[in-house]
Amino acid sequence: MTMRWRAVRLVPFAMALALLAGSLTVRSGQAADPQPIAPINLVTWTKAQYPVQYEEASVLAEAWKKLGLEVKIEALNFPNPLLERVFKTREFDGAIVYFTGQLERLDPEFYTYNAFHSSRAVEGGWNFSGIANKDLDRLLEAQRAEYDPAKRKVIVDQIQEWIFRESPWLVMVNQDEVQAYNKANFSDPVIPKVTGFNDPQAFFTLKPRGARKVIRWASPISDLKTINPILASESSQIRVLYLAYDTLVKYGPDTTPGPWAASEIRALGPTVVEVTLRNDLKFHDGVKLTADDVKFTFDLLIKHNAPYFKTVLEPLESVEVVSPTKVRFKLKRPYAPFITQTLAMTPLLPKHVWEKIDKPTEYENIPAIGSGPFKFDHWKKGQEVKFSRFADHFRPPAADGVLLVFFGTREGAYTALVKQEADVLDRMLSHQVDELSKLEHVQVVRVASNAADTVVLNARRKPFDDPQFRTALSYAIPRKQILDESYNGLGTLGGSVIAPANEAWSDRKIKPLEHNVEKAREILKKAGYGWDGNGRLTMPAR
Amino acid sequence: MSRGIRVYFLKRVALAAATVFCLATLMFVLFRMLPGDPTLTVLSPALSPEVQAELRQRFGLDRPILEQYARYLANMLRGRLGVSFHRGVPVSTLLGQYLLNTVVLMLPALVLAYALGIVGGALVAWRRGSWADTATTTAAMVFRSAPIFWLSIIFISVFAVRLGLFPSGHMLTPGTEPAGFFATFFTVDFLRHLMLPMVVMAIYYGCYPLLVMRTSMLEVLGEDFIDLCRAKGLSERRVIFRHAGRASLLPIATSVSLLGAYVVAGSVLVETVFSWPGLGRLMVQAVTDSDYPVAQASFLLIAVLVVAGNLLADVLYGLLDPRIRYQ
Amino acid sequence: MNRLWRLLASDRAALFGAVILVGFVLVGVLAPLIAPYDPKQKHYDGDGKLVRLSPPSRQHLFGTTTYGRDVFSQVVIGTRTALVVGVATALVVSVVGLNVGLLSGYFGGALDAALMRLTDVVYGVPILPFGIVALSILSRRVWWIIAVMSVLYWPPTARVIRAQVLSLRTRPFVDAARLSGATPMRILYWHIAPNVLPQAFVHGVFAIAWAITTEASINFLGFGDPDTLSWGTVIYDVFTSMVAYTAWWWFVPPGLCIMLVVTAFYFVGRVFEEIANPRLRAR
Repeated sequence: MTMRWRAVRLVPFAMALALLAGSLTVRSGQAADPQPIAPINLVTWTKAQYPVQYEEASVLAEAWKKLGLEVKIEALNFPNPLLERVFKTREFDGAIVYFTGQLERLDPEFYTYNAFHSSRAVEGGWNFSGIANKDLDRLLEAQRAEYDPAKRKVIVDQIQEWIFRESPWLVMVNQDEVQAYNKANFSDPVIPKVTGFNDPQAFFTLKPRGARKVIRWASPISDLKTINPILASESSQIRVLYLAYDTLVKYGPDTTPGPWAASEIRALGPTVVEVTLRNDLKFHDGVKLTADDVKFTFDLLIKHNAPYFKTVLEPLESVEVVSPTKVRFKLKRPYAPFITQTLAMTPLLPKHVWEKIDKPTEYENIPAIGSGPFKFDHWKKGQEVKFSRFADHFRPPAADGVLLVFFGTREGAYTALVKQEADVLDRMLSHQVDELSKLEHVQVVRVASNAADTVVLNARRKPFDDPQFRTALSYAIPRKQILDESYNGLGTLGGSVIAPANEAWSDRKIKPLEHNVEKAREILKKAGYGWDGNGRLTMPAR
Repeated sequence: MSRGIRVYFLKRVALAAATVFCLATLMFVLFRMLPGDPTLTVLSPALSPEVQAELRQRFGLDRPILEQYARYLANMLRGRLGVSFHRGVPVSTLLGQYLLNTVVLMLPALVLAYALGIVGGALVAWRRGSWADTATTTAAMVFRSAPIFWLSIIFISVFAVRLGLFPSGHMLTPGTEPAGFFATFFTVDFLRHLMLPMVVMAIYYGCYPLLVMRTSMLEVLGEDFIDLCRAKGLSERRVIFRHAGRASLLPIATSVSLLGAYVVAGSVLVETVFSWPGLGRLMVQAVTDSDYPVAQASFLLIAVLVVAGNLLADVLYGLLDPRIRYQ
Repeated sequence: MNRLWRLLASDRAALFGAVILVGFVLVGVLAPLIAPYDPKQKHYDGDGKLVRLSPPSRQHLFGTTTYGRDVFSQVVIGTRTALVVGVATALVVSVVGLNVGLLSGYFGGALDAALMRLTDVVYGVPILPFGIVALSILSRRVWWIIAVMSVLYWPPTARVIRAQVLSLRTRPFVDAARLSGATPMRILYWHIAPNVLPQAFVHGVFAIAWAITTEASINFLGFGDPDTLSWGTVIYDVFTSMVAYTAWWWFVPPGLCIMLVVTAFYFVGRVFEEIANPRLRAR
C-alpha cells in the first residue's frame, strides 16, 4: 500500500519534468534548422540483367554523397516492374535509363519531341522528367514540321542547348557498340555506323569463307517472345524481323537514309508523301509485293495499335493506293520524321497471308512470310530461329542463312563464340573485349553509337524542379570513371542528348561537363542551398 | 489386390490431390498479394485488347473473388491456363514443349543415379573397410555436399571448355533441322548434349542411394539368412547380389520419393547452368520476367510432377513392403 | 558429454568435421577483422585502372572480380551470412518440427490426423521452385528467405519426433507421471520432450547444412537479397559476368566453402545421431 502511495506522489513531479523537457525541445526546434534533403530514390537495373547500369548507380551514389546527398538505390527487374515505374507511375527521383543504339533513334525526333514535349509527359510517354515548357514545346513542334534538313538542324541545336542548360537528363556516357564475329568463317561485313551488327545489313553482307555457310548469331536471351510484328515490343524482336521483312526506307552504312523497297520517295506537299515501289519485290512464297500490301500493312498496324510502331504511325491519317506500284501517304500534319523514321521502321506484311488471319494479335506468325533478303525457315522454341537465303530478293545476301541461337545466358553466348560454335556476338561486357581480342578467329568490331547511359531526373519533385540543383548533380558525376569502369573506356563522355555519333544532328558546340565537385557545391551555394551540421545538403530557406 | 493395399493406394492418391489443390490455392492467394491491380496476374498491357477481353471474361476478373477462385480452379482442370504475357501464346502450349525436354533429361539421370547408387553401394558393402570403400564413401559424402550448380560449372569448365569433349550447353546443336520425337531425341547430337548434365546429376543424386544401399546391405549381411546362404555353399557374389541385394532394396524405394523432390529442384539449377530448354528454366525465366501466368502454371506443373513422383514411390513401396500389404 | 568426446575422437571424419566447423565459426565471428578489404571496394592499380579479374596474388588471395573487388573478403564476409541463415533456419525448423511431432505423437486422434496430413502436404511441396515464386512476390530480404525455407522444411523432423513420441508414450515413466497428477502439457514438455530433444538436435544440425545449400541455390538463381553478401551470390556474380569458365579463382572458393561446411555438418551430425539413437550400428 505504501509503495503505491509513494509512486502516486511522484506522478505530478514526473509530469512537470516532462513538460519542462518538452518545452526545451520545442524551443530548440524553433531555432529552425533547415531540413536536410530527403534521400534520393535512384532507380536502376538489376545486377543480374544489367550489371553495368547497376554498378553505375553505386558510383553515382558515392559521387552525390560528396554534395551532402544520401542516395537510396532501388534495383528493379526489366521489363517488369522497371518499365512500369519509369513509364507509368513515375515514382522515382532519378532513374538510370539505358538507351540502346538504334538507327531509328538517329532522327532527332526521338531525343527531342518524344522525350521533352509536354504531351509526352503522360503515362507511357518518354518524357520521364515531366518537362512542360511552352517555349521548348514550340521549338519541338517546329523541328517536327521542318522538312529542310539545314533549317531543321538549327532548331534542333537550339533544343539541345536548352536541354543541356536545364539538365533534366544527365547523359553519363555514350558507349561504343562493341561486337565480335568469327573472321575465320566469315569476312567482309559492311558494318553500318552507329549500330554495327544491330542492323541487319551487317548480316546481309557477311560472306562465308569456308565450309560454314550459315551465320550463327549467338543470343544471350532464352527465347524470342514473338515474331509477330503487331505484338513485338522490344528491339530484340524487331531486329530479327528486319532480316525477313523489307522496309520502304533503309539507313545506309553511313547512316544516311535511302530508298530500299521503294524506288522513289517524293513529298508532294507538307502532308502528302508519295512512294513508288520497286517492281521486283517478291514475298518468300512467290507472290509479288504490291501497293495493296503496303496499304494493308499500315492499316493493320494502326488498327491493332502495334506498340512498337504506335508513336511513329500516329501522324499518319490514311494510305491510298494510286497504282500497283505507287502509294500515297496522307499525314495529319507536317511531320518530318515520317520518311526517315516511320518508313524506315515499318516492315511490309503480305496482305494475302494476314487478311486470312482471324485474330492477328493471337497469330504466332509461323512461318513469317516477308520479302526480305532472308526467308524464315523454322523456330525451335527456346533453341533457335533459322533464316535461309532468299535468292529472289533484289539484293540477295552473301551467306546461305542466319541461325539465331538462344543460349539463355550471356555466358553461354560468349563461350559459343570462343569455341567457334557461334559466329556473331552482338553484346558483351567490357572485360570480355580483351579476352576476345587475343583469339585468332575473332574480329572485334567497335562502332561509335548513339547508345547512352543517362540519369533522368523527375522534375515534378523538389528539389529536382530546380535547374541549378540538376546542373550541380551533373557536375558531380565522374563521367570518365564511369566510362572506364563500365565500358573499359570504349565510348565518349556524355554531353548532349543527341550523341556525337549522330553526326548529322548532334550539336558540336556542346561539350561534356567536367567532373568538378567544387563547382557543383558553388552552384548549390549560389542557389541558396546549405549544409547542416552533419554535412547533409539542405533545402534553400524559402 | 487385397483390401489393405487398396485402402493404402486410395489414401495416397487422395493426399496427392489434396497437395496439388492446396498449392493451387496458395498460388492464387500469393499472386493476389502483388502490389497494384489484381488483374495484372492474368492480364498485361502487352497483350492485345481482344485477348485481354477474352481473358477477363474467362477468368471472371470483374466478379467477386470467390467466383474468380472457382473459375481459376475450373480453368486449371480444363487446362486453360491463360496466355503468356511475353510470348502471347497459350501457356498450355508452352508447358507441353518444355515438359518433354525436362523429362528427357531427368529420367535417364535418375535411372543412372540409382543404377550407380545401387551397384556402387552393394560393391562397397561387399568390400567393407577396404581402401576402395573408404574412398568411395567419402567421395559420395563430399559430392553430395557440394552445390549442384557449382559442380555443373566445374564439369563444363573441365570437360567442355578446357578439354572440348562435350558441348558447353543446350540440348541440341543449333542448326539441326526440326524433326519428330525420334529424329530429335535418338541422335548422337542429342546424346552428346545430354551427357554432361546427365552425368553431373547422376553422380550428385547417386550419392544418397549409394550410401543408403551400403548401410542397408551391411545390415542385411549381418542377418542370419545370409549365413545360411553361405553355409549352403553359394558363391560370395551370389550371396551379395542375389540375396542380400534384393533384401536391401526396400530402403532404396523409400528414398526414391525423397529424391524425386530433390531432382526436380535440382533440375531448375542444372537447366539454368546448361541452358537446357526445360520446365525448370522456363519457370525461373517466367518468374524473373514477371510473366505471371507462365510462372504460376509451370510451378504447378513442377509440383504435380513431384507429387506424382512421390505417389509412384509410395505405390512401389506399398507393393514391396509386406507390412503394408497385410494391414 | 564424455561419450561425445570419445566418439568424436574415434571417428576421424567427425573430428575433421568439427575442426572445419570451429574454423568457419571463428571466421564468421571475426569476419570484419579477417577480411583484408571492404568487399564492395573497387581496387585500382598504379595507373588508376581497375584491377579486373586478376588471378590470386599476395594482395588478393582469391583474386579479383570484374569490378576489381577482392574475392577473399567477399568469401569471408559471406561466411557470416551462411552461418546466420543456416542456424536461424535450423532453429525454426527444429522448433516447429519438434512441437508438431510432440503434439501429434502424444495426443493422437484427430489432432494427429490433421497434423500428419498437413505434414504430408507440406512435404510434397518442391521447395526451391516454391521459394522462388514466393520470394519474387513477397520480398527478397534475408529474413523472408529464412522464413520461406523454414516453413517448408520441418516435416521430416516432425515425422521422426512423432515416431519417437509414439514409442515413448507407452513407457512406464509416462504412466507414472500421469498417475502423479501431471497435466498432459506438463507430461509432454517436462517428461517426454527432453527425451526427444537429442533427435531434434540432430535434425537441426542436418537442417543447417540443408539451409546453407538451399540459400546458396536461391541466390544463384538471382533471387537472393541484393544487399546481403553470401557464397551463393558470389557464384551468381561469376556466372552472370560470363567468366565462370575462366575466372576459376572467383567461383571455386565459395563453392568449396559450401562443400566443406556441409560435409563437416554431416560428419558431426552423424556422431550426434549415434548418441541420440544408440541403436544405430557403428559404420
